[in-house]
Amino acid sequence: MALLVADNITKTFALPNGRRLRAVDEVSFTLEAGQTLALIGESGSGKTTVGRCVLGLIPPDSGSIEIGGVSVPGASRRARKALRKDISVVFQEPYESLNPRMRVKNIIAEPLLIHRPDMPSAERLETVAHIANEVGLPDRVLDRFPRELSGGQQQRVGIARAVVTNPRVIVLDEPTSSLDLSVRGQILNLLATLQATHQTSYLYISHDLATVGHIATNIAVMRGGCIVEQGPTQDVLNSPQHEYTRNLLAAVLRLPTLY
Amino acid sequence: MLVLDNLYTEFVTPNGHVHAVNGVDLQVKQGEILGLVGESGSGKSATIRSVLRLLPPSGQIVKGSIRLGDTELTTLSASGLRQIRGRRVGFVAQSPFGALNPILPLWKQFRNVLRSTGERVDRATVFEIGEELLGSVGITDPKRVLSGYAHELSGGMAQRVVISMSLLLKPDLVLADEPTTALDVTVQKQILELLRHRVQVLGAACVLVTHDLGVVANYCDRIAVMYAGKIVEAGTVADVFDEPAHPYTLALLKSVPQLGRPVASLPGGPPELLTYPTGCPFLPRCKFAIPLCASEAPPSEDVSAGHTSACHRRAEIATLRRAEVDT
Amino acid sequence: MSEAMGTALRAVGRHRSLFVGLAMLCLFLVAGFLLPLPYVPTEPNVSAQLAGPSAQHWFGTDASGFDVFSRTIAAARRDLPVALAGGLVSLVLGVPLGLLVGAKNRWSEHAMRVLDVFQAFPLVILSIAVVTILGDNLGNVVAAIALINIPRFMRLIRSEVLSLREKRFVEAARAMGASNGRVIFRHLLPNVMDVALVQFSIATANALIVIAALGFLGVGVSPPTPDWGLMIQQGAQQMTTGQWWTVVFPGLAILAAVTCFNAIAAGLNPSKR
Repeated sequence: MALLVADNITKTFALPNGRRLRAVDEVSFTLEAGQTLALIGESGSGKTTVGRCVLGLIPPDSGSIEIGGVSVPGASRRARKALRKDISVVFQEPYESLNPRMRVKNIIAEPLLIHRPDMPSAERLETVAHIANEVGLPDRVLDRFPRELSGGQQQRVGIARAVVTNPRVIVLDEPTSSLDLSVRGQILNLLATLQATHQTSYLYISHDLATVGHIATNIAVMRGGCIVEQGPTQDVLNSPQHEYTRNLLAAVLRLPTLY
Repeated sequence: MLVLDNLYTEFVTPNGHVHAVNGVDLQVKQGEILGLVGESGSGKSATIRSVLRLLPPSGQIVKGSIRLGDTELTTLSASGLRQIRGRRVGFVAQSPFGALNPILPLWKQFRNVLRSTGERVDRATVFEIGEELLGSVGITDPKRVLSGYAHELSGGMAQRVVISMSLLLKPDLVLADEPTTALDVTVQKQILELLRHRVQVLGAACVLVTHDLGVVANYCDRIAVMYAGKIVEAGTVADVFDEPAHPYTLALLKSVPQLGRPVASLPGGPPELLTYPTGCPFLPRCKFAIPLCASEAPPSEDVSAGHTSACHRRAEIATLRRAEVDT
Repeated sequence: MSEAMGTALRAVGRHRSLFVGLAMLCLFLVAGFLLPLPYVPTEPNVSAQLAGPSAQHWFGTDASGFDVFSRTIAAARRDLPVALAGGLVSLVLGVPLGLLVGAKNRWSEHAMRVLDVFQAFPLVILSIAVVTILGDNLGNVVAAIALINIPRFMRLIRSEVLSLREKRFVEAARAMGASNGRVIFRHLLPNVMDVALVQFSIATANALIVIAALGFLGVGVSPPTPDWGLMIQQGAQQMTTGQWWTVVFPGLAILAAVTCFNAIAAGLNPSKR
């Protein structure tokens, strides 16, 4: 059985002017353990809302989301808290997603404090140091505040925080879009390494087909709240079935050579 | 049309002087689109903003010259600059909604631009000119757009409006600072096509600042790569993309996500420009470095006609790159 | 060594307001509590009534023969702590209430309307009303100050919280399973503290003015207690006959104290940095 199963999720929002916006329209997909599903779409496609539903931050109007057999919406408080340990998130804006008044080591430690309150502080510090090392953060940044770090380092902190409880699923919402070109590769390679080591599944939300070409097992293309095409990466990229997918592929600005 | 000669711009911060632009030489000819490429901290935005002196109060040009045609811009008075802005130089910023006044109907904003030449224009004339211009940038109902407000437009449409406003007075130079970064990819292509077309019709020079090498490869004639406030490589797009002659350019090219290969990574990050290193600023991240790089800053010299690189090993990069692929 | 000095001096230069304010505050506190006063503020020198500033009486004496200098300094001993207490109570009560009102949507709008009623009253009028109703003592003066300032804190904190709530790091905290309490105390509170401290300084500055006004009206304090407001009231009668020192010095003291807290507030203001 797949690790994450989303079945017919629908979410409608009421707009201030009285109209209703169907942000997510009967979206279904599955995610197997250790694999990456890329959710590709432009602004307004609903991909971000789907991510929030999977995280349990927004309850869908209808449909089901199950992680490891446990349903996300409608879960009891205790069940939901247990789920939160198993699914984490990395956001797009590295600086915005970190509390400016917390030191890096405390930011990374927080999920441990919430889900393993019984863990002795020495063990916790050790875990934090170990994870920081794993994501490539030098020891000296642990005592610093987010604003003292570069964008790439800030995103590593976000990733460290996301992996510290060893979750089974990580939702990544455009994790490299706000980073410099030369740093993006570092972060993408880090994500790939972590996945190989921990067998984590990724729900990788992005607007950029080119970025996910190498890390995604499957791609789902969203537009206007619906999934217009879905399938293994190579199939979608090499023989796109839907016109919108073809448009997206055509819009990727290619370099003359592959370097 | 535009010549930057040995430009130095600094920002005064509580921590000291940030040397954002360090001796930049740049030329853009009429009818040519130059892609100015760099990451954060490269100085590309500071360079562009220095041209029109759109720097924050902490920024100042400390040395060098900026010539537009035969006008020297660095010594212009504030009123002189105002004459230039909008009229001889158009500016397209990253966020279209930042450039448009939210409370004025769009035709009034067009009118204000037209009025800045000192001419009186009535509503009918504004609409006439505006409708034609908006129609030419691909807006289907220009009359309605002109009568309406900025927030009624999508990002793509707003950027089209901004582009047409910047071209209204038929400038000699158009500066575009990441004009499509905030837009969806499908819209990006259209906007860039539009910009290129209009610039060529006008015969204006254009500097397109971007971090996206794909944009440069497809829409620019020449490219200048910036790192740590210096131009590290410049030349025609064909030359530079065929045979990059600087390790940074090569690394950047490898970092662009492209279907068909994994993304390469470059370790470390751009330098903070509080103090300027003696040798090459790219040294800490360069895999082809030699001892000379630490002691002597490489000058920008020709690799071939019209193709310069600021690297001691500029002639060897092609070979080094092939050697890398083979290993 | 001199490098460290240079850095320290630069830091002081950047935060001039703050340092000036804090320096003045220290001066007041030291003078008020530690300085030995030349004369006992409540023992008049009957032989030297209404004497001008001189070597024996630096600020002169008032109509009853009290030494103005000693009384001015002694008044600090009373007024400053009361003002600070008022500010502190407002901070300690206003911030949590503001956090609560900001975090909960349902009745926050109604709560704000109730607060509007309190804020509509001028500071001084409301304080007089409170002190008159509840009794003429220092504790009630503090209560009056708190009553007026708590709505201000709540409004300020609430608006900060409303914008903070939407921030990514708060969303991240919820996504990782943080309880409401954790979100409020670990994420919202630390990020409103800088604004709260500025408001605290402003509230204290305003409290000083209220205390002076109350003293001037004879509310909450009775002679011969040294109090700036009271001293001004008593000395006002002498202004017309030319004995300015009984009024000017206490007035300058109020001005200095209020300026000191305003300087601290300006120095702490995060938007200035």
